[in-house]
Amino acid sequence: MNFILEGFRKGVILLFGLNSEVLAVLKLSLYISILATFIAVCIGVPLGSIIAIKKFPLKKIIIALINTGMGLPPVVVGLFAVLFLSRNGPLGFLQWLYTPKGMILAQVIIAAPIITGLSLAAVQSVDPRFYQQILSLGATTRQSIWVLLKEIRLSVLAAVIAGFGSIISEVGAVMMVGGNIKGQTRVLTTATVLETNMGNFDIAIALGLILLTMSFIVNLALTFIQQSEDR
Amino acid sequence: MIEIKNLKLDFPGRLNLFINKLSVEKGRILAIIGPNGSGKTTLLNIIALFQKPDNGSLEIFGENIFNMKDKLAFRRETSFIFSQPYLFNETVYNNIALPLCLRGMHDTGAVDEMLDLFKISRLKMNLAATLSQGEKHRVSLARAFVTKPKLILLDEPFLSLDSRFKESLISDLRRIIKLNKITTIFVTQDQSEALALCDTMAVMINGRVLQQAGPEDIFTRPGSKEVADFVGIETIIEGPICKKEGNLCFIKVKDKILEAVSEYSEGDDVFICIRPEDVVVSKHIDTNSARNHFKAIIINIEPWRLEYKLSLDCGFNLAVSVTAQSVKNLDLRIGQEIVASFKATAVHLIRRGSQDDTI
Amino acid sequence: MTKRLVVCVLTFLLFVSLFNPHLEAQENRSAILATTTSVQDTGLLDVLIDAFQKETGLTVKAIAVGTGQALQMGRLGEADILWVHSPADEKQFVDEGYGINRTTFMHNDFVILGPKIDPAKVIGMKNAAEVFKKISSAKALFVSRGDNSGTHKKEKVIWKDAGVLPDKNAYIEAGQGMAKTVMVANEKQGYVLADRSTYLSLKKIIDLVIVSEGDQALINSYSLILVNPDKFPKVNANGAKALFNYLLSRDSQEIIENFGKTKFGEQLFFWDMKDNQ
Repeated sequence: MNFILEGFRKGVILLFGLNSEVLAVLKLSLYISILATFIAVCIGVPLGSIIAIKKFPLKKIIIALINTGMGLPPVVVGLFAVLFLSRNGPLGFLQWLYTPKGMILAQVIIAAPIITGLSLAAVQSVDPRFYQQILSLGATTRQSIWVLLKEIRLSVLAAVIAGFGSIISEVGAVMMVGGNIKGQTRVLTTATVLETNMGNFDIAIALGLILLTMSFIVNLALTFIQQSEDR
Repeated sequence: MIEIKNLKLDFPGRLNLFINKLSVEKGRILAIIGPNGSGKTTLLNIIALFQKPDNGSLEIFGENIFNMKDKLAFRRETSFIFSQPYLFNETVYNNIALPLCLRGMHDTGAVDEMLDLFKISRLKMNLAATLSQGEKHRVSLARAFVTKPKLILLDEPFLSLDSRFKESLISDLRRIIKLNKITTIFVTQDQSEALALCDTMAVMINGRVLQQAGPEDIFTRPGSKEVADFVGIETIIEGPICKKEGNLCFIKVKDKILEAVSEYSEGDDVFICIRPEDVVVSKHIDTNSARNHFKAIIINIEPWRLEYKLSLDCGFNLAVSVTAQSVKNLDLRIGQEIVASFKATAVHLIRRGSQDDTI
Repeated sequence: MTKRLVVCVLTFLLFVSLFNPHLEAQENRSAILATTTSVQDTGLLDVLIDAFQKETGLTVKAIAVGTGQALQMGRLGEADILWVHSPADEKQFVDEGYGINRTTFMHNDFVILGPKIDPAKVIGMKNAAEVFKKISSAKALFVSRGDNSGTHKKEKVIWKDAGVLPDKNAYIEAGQGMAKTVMVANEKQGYVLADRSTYLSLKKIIDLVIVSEGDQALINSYSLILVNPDKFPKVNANGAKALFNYLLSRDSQEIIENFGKTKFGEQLFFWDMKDNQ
């Protein structure tokens, strides 16, 4: 119990004392995960909607693949990302290994299937006649999807929240692809692992609590947007 | 002018749709009636381009729709009204304005016009989710009309409505359609709805249009046994209410006067429906409580289900069902003169709208 | 609704531009240093890298992985310079032509930790191999890193010298970093081989004590190896050389020798270079 209280105390001190290392790590965590979420949303929401609406061969298999992708272990994604981004790998020319760009790539790969799958389910749960109603009002396909998404914005935002949650908290991918380099690729999760390895359990707990708090604040903002639409 | 020819769509194991010929003239209202599963909704879906037929042609205003390159243009001249209002989680105003927004138009005048037309101006800034069923239907209709479509398709539009709201909505709807000369096709299982709204009617059974004609023809001279079975035998005649005393209406049919109990007003054009089992025949005028007595000549006697159907000419056509025993007792024969009576309360009226709303 | 969306996107772009800053600056062509977790976990790595970056203005990507992985990265040309502590493997690495300029430049030491009650009765013994022998015969619990790290390899060397195998039922492979492994040993009251700095940083919160120290076999030597640029043209040879030179410089020596004195009150690392050049 002592541990936890000590961790709390340390966390408050680190954060409000504006400890530069902690702030750098915090900024990078938010930057990478929020940017990755944004990219994953840009891919996942339209993709999920189109797959839900259109008919095409192998539709069920594609959906099964997306559902499988929702459960991709981050550490496996990290492993494959490293293999691809390493000097000898096919994408080595990008020089993204051990950089935030590589970490964002890995996190997009983790979050995109989740957001796609949840958007897909949200759109599929809508009465198909409702979509026809939108079309009958004179909407193009693009306009129809936009109107439909506005109607189910609660579910779409839930997908965004789920996507963000999955990557702000993961450590496997960012550790492998980023390398936990101080000042360059160290984020809250990997810093927590490091402090634990060093035996600095109080700092580790502090970082963990900071991570939870930050995650809560971002989710609070998203939830406000989500729930304000529910009148 | 809308013409459908040789339209075919097969659902293996379920339904084979085949429409030989079906047409609606510009500005007219066609009601398609038929039992569940007859393919009415599928037909409507095809016209709306929601489903593709296997083959056939659908000519609308001269163009074959299925070959059309710019289907969006067609969709934007057509409105489809579903049995559910499908409103958006927005204000009434925004719901009605949406079709305009989709077309890049921002005409607030048109929206206000619709609000007035459908009598929902006071609900302008209310959220759609807070409205009653009847109000939601009105918003849905206003939204469909705001773009002044050339063609309107309705799929059992009054299905979820109480009869109180239905009547006023139907008459408002007919008035607005006629005012704007919009070609209309609507689908329903409810025969009185169809009668109240349509100019011409088509009966669809098992994926085929068995008869297209004016409503009286369909009901009094059904083209086939299936149609007859579906519409039931009823007398359906037309006439204006020429006088009203209390709640008793006097309706002029040809040169006869029928009495019926109804809330309608003097001047209303109505369909008069009389069920065959409500008519009593006798040799002489009986002093019973029935207010309607007519001398009639028997034109036809034929067996029908477990009884007999008599077709009478009272100056207007009247269908009566009698038991075999009655045929024997009264010694009924073709050409015989008898008296047909029925109560004013047995007469069922369906309002057609006022005198001047037919084109 | 569109307005709100526009506001969101704008705020987001603002956020991205504010936070983006120096991150993109120095990425390309930093040298990649593959080193072991024990170097990182003591905190020495961060201090030296910071100093190097400040002094030269160059940046380094210091990746702390297990010794096995570091050497493998060298074999694939995925790293430019290695800082490891596994002499036998290092020699093989150089012999096979993957590395050049192997230089042993510093060392720290391991200690054997155990429970206060000392079931194997080894407290005070000087010979590491003898200690292990007694632990095995007493069937006392021993917790290993079990991850092929430098520490783990050192442990295996001592078992080999002892000529015995640990008792199968009294041997746990934690598969974790040093601190976590010590915590496991602490929880289960077993013996464990740990580097001194990890012990010092955990001292306050564990019940284990040092049962043996000082044996030559417990010396842990660190070497630098440059990955052979002839074999791997993609290697950043200049960056690696700059770091190599710095780590072997007098400034580096000063930092290394003073490290630990402030935090733990004792010197943790010892300089091994004969000529300070």
